[in-house]
Amino acid sequence: MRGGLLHLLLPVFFALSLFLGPYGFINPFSHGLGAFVLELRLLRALAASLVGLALAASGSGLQALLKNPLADPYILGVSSGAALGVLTAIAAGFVWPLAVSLSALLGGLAALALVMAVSSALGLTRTSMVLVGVALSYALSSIDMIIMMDLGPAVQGSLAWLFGTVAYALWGELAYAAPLMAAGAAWIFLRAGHLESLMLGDDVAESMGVRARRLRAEVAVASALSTSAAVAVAGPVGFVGLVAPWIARLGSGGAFRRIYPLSLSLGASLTVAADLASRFVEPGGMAPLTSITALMGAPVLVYLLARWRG
Amino acid sequence: MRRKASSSVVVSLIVVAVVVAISAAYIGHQLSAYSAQVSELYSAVSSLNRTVASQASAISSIASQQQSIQSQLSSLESSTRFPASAVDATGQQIVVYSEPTRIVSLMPSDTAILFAVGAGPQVVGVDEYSSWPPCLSALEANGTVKDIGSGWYPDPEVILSARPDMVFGVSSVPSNYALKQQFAAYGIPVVLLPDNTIEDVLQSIYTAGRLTGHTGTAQLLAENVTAELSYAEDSTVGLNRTSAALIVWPSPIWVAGNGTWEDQMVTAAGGSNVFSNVSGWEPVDPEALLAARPQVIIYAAGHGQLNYSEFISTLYQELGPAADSVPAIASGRVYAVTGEYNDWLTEPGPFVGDGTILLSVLLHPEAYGMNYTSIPHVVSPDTLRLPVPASVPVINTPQCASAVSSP
Repeated sequence: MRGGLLHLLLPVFFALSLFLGPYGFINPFSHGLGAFVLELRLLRALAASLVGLALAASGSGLQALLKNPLADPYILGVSSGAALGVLTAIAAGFVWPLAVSLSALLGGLAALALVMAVSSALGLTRTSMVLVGVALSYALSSIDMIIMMDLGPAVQGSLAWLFGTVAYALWGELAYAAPLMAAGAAWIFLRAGHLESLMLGDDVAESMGVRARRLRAEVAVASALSTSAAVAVAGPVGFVGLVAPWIARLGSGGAFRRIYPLSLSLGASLTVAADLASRFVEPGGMAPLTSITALMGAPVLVYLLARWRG
Repeated sequence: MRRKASSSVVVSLIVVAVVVAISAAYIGHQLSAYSAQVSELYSAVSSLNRTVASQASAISSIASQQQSIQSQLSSLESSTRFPASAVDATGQQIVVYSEPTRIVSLMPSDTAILFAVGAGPQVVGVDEYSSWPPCLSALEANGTVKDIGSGWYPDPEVILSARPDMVFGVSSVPSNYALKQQFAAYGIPVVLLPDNTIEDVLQSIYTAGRLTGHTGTAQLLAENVTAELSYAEDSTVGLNRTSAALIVWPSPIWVAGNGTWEDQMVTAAGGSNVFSNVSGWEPVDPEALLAARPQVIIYAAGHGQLNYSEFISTLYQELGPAADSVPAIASGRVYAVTGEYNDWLTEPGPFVGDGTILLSVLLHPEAYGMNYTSIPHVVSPDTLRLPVPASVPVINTPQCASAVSSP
């Protein structure tokens, strides 16, 4: 069980995230401002864990569903869709987190629905579906950029969010985003057995009593749900959904049901660690989370690939 | 006969002696009466002196009483400044129960407004771009004021490490809303000042003044801004409007369009904004300058962006020889505004009035007895002196000495 040890990364990074920051070390029993800073750190760590978990769940689900190891909510356009929802809300003058989050949810669901509708209308294979997602993702990102230019200086504030950050997470946001993320992740876990049969091919799955079309729709909705909730909290954080399932697969191996929990825990650890690093990369400057998840995740992935081949 | 004569001499001598004696006695009597009167007078004077002295001490005691009453009054006044309340740009009613003494400012315009209304000594943290008042850098150097980094992407933990009891941001930056919500949980008010129009700036001055306990100075400052605006308006009234482009960022070219406080400044300075068809601050295609044909181009050259000649060569690179068809470029009425003047055109702060006067000079030098050929291409406090309107309340540049000495 060499993969089992990897679960320990989460509590380690979580604890470090509580104790390290620009404010300095904080006695856990402090009162007043110290306690408030500690609370903010706890909120950040929880938000980062949940976001990482949700993205890893979504990535694992989509990879299994599309039988494509490159599938990822970021690549499929779900994140850009959710981000478009957020920018639309800001452009319309709704800067309050609740409006922003609901708008993200709508955008994410709409993007995935569009990818699936176009693919099924054109009768495309599941591999080509990723291509439709990539195309949509580029289109949506372009619209995001145009809206951003249009918003002028105001957007510079939302730019931080657009690169991903959990620094402004609120208990209220987490309170309604967490159940959605957890529900999406749990839903995929409940369908883990069916997904394993689906990986053997639609015919095999059907013969085992799995209704392939319905299963795909369910997993797609679950993925969109957890991704949109994550985007609403932290913005479109990339790379976690792609790399966490891969590290889990290479680090542990085995059936989907076994890899899945490890992939969630690794997604959470990676995001918590990235948030921790962002506090020190540019103190007071808020380094974007996506760039750090990529910087930290890419070498790990390459190392594991090299070991796997060798 | 001789006896008779001598006796008459004796008699007359006696008479004389008697007369002398009587008159001497009389004079003596009179003298003693006088001396009594004099001594009476003396005693009266000395009693008067005593009275005067006692009156003087009474007066001085009254004066000291007056002083103590005055100090009581002023302390009463300062105690009546709080609780203070004001509504910020989000519509939230912010109530402050005692004078905020640890203020963090997220934007250069917030910092300038706070110092200009006299709340400088209460400021303990500013963002990395705050540069006014000039002595701010000394305060940051000696640790009185902390640099909290970016105000566009503020790090909550860095701000909290300055232990603020009040934070000022602006309404146009979404992350400032996020911070407001976060800090609400701990009871640290985050005041978002409106920053789109000149009316917003005046509102911001009143709000900042009220919440920091400087209502009087804020009132004076607002009067100063208003008077400067009308001075620029009055000086250029009746003149043909000069068409102008106000460029706030060189590449890509960002212009101030409709609905911005800069657009209002151009109008008040006797100009017409060629980009009033653009809403807010927008990047425009360089070719838009060819279509707009401004008579004057004003470029806020900021700190360390393109300088005047780099900006001009960029225009020629992007527009080619067609650049000469733009009246402003052909006639050499392109101005790069630097130094403190740049801040006047880029910060919605206490200098919108001064900025308008600056613009009115650039757009209508003839209104001030100048010719546009005498205006330098690089416009800064060192190269161009501006007219100082009489009858405008003077706002002195805050000195930070008091702030340095206060804990």
